[in-house]
Amino acid sequence: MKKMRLIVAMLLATALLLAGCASETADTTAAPVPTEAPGATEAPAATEAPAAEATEAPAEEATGETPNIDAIKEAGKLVMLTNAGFAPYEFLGSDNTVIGVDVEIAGAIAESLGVELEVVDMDFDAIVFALQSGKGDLGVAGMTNTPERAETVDFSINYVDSQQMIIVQEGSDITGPADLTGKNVGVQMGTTGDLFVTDDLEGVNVQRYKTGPDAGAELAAGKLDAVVIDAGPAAQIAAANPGLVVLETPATEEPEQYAIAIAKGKDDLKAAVNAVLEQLIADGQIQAWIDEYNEISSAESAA
Amino acid sequence: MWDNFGQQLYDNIILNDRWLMYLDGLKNTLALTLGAAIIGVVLGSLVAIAKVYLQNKKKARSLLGRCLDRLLQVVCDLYLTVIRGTPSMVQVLIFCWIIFGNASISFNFYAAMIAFGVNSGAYVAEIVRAGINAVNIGQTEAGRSLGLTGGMTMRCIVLPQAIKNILPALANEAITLLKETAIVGYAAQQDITYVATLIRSRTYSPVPLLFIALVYLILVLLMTYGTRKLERRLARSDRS
Repeated sequence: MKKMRLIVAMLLATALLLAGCASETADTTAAPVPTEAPGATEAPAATEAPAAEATEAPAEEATGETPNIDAIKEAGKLVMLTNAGFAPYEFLGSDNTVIGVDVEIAGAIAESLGVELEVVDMDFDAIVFALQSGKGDLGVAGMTNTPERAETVDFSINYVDSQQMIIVQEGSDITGPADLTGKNVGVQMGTTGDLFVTDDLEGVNVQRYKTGPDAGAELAAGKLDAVVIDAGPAAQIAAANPGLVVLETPATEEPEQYAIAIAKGKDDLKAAVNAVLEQLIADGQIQAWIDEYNEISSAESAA
Repeated sequence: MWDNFGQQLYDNIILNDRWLMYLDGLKNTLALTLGAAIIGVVLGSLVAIAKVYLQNKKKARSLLGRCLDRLLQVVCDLYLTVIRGTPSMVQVLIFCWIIFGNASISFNFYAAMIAFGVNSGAYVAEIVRAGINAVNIGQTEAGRSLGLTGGMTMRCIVLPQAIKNILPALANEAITLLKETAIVGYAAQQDITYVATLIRSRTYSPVPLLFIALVYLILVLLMTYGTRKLERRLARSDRS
């Protein structure tokens, strides 16, 4: 009887221990499981895929040269990471899906690859990190090509010129960036507007919001003195909130450029993206989309 | 902000069938809560049983037995300390962006579910352990005096009484969990809170937030009502 109990106790202990271990190791062992299924498609592509494919299928010419594009084709979808609060580039359309200039561009890229486009809406400041860890193929979010970001991700060619603008309430005494000192200024977290106000201006009380419209609503409610954000969304925020105006003097002297972010090392994908972008720019299609979505966005706000 | 509130209600809920978006978000919220609750109860019960077992057992005679006991103790304590000592938001971010960092973005939903489950498990473990410990030691002594083995005493005498302590507290934990899933938007998941944020980015209106607050409140009230009924049913055998 005693012995029996001891054995049962030991069994129970080991079972619990294993269970305990399982819950601990689940963290590490479970991780490869999901990667294996779509794994071939995304994460390890850059370094492992060419070697593996070269040995497995040496006969096929295309493989090995374009591992990342092959992976996307195999998955059948191109995953675009964006932050839908940035009209006209990406915003919630009347059909309750994310639409906008960037979605059209990514759609054209997906079409050129012959795959579907999947739009993932997330926090802007997490996009670069998510790309880096292979959670998506492209970051298309009206993202300015800055040297800091370029250290972590690669950028396509630039597709839009933009500038940081200042939104204020009508009749405000703020007339330019110099007047922002000592004021409450709203920005979208992690955007170039945030970087500009935080790094380049002194004595500004910076309030960071998850989306531009959040900052715009606070400004309209009188809780902020100004909002600094890219020209496109600045115009849309001012249009949607009566009493707000965009100053003619931009916040930043130098124009900045939007580009598509791609995880480092995916050169084949980058080349394909650039080819599509070049074509779209040459056709004037991007400007046409900007005009189209500006109209859609303001028409909805006005309604 | 409050002018033409009726129009705002219409714009934020009915226009463009936006209520369908809330419904989708609600589905995600509920699925996340349910999945996490199951993970939490299983994990928490295992840890609680381990802790009670270690607390009551005699010191193991062999060296190996003592080492295993010690290891089990350390693993349980580490789990409880780390999980209860860090914010659940940070845990969700770590699970989604670091531990499952290489998984595809659509796996984030499950990564978040696991994160909430592991988080909840730590609290469930304490609830279950406290529930078992709250049963008077006299019950165990009586059971043993009547010739029941330790295991039988636990199964037939202590656990049925412990469950009465545990279930209402577990229901409260489920309510907490439901409300906590609101942070999953940080992991690119569209729960009902995220949907409200998204709609608000178009309408600049307070309505979406007020609306989802109402939805959460109704859900919690339903759960509270269920808990009350459960408590009353469990108290039926009490003499007082």
